[in-house]
Amino acid sequence: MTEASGVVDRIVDGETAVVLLESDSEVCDQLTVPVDELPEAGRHEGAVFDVSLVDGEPVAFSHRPDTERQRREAAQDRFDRLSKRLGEE
Amino acid sequence: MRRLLLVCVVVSLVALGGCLDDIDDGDDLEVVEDDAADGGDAVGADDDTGSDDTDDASETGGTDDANGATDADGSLELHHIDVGQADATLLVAPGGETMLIDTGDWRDDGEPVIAYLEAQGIDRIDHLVATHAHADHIGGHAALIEHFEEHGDGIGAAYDSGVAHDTQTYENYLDAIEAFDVELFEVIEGDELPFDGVDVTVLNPPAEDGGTDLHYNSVTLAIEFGEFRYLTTGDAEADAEERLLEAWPDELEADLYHAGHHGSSTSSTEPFVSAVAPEMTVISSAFESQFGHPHDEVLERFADHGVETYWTGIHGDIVFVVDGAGDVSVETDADEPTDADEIAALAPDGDDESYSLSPDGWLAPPAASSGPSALLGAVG
Repeated sequence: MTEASGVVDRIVDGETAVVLLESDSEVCDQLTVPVDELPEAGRHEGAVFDVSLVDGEPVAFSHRPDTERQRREAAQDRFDRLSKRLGEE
Repeated sequence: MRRLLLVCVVVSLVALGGCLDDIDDGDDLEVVEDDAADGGDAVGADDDTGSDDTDDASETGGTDDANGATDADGSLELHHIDVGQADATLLVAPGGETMLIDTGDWRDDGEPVIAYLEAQGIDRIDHLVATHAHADHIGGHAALIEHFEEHGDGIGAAYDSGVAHDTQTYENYLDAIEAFDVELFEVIEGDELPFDGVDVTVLNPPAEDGGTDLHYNSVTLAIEFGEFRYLTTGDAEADAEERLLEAWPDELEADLYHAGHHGSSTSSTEPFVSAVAPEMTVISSAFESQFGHPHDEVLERFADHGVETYWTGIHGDIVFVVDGAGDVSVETDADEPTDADEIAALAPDGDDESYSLSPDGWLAPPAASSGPSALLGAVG
């Protein structure tokens, strides 16, 4: 069994979660999962999971809310640092 | 606001009745029908549509018609690039300025978009828009920024809804913004994007706090060129459409509507389509969309409203060229129906090849799948 980090990129039509798998800070694969089959607390975009894989196939998702919160804050802080409102000098 | 819409049907060199899988990059586009009466300058994709070749219609500009409406100068091109189950739209202003709205899915890493732009002779993106941070919209941003900064004439500025995402795809995008010091602007409703000779008004995200939902905050642009209007909403869904109806009731009407969220029934609601009242619509999604896009409900709505419908899933790359008088010509890779009912009959049903949870609580793929990589084709 191998472990990978997965992030819910989006939930399509309220039904299907698109989960991006990451390895070494790169997106390496994509899974689509019925959203109601993810742990309930992680049924939203941006949710971070540890994904257990056997022979490349996912067998379990473990939600990581603390990691998710840290990543969200870091991403928003970085955007805010790099950007400015249109019209600002 | 309407002017006569003159649509020139264009077919590709793909043999009639040929396999839809043969839809290609658009290198074989050929105008087979035109209307000399309008003096239009429909441009084949084999032509260089860069700055040197987009001002041919200037002789039609700056004049008043019988109704007192003022024609615009030159022509505006709107290229809806076939990037499968994703979005990427190139706009070329009369003077050659370029705007790219979204860059396709992360799995393509910008390649089809870069190839398309190069085929058009474009070496600079003046305005790079991310409607929102999902990986089927910003998937090529990092590669595209790197490509044009290192091998072309760079990126003028990037525009974003300001709602960040915690995926690696998003981080790669910001990595490229930072590495190449690209000017990055957060936009909100009421902003005007500078695009030579074309009015570009931001209608969404809302000025007030719109929360963190990426679709609700999807960048929506109302684009006006002379008497022609184009509306593109990214993945704005019903709640965002409802807000737009309340906040911008007089700015939604458009000749050409880029259907929200790949033609999903989460978007293009009846009140919204009624308000936009488009003559034409274009849908960006894969022929075998895993999510069943475009949904029958939306196609039926377009049919009920008599909207001429284009879909990258069957038409391939779809290029609209608007001349200064507001006349429109359309070029597509493939000569397929534009009647929404006929398109609905052509579209396959959604293929739900996602993993499902077995009774013992373990996730298992459907029998036909052999792992994650087996799913990727169905999604694209």
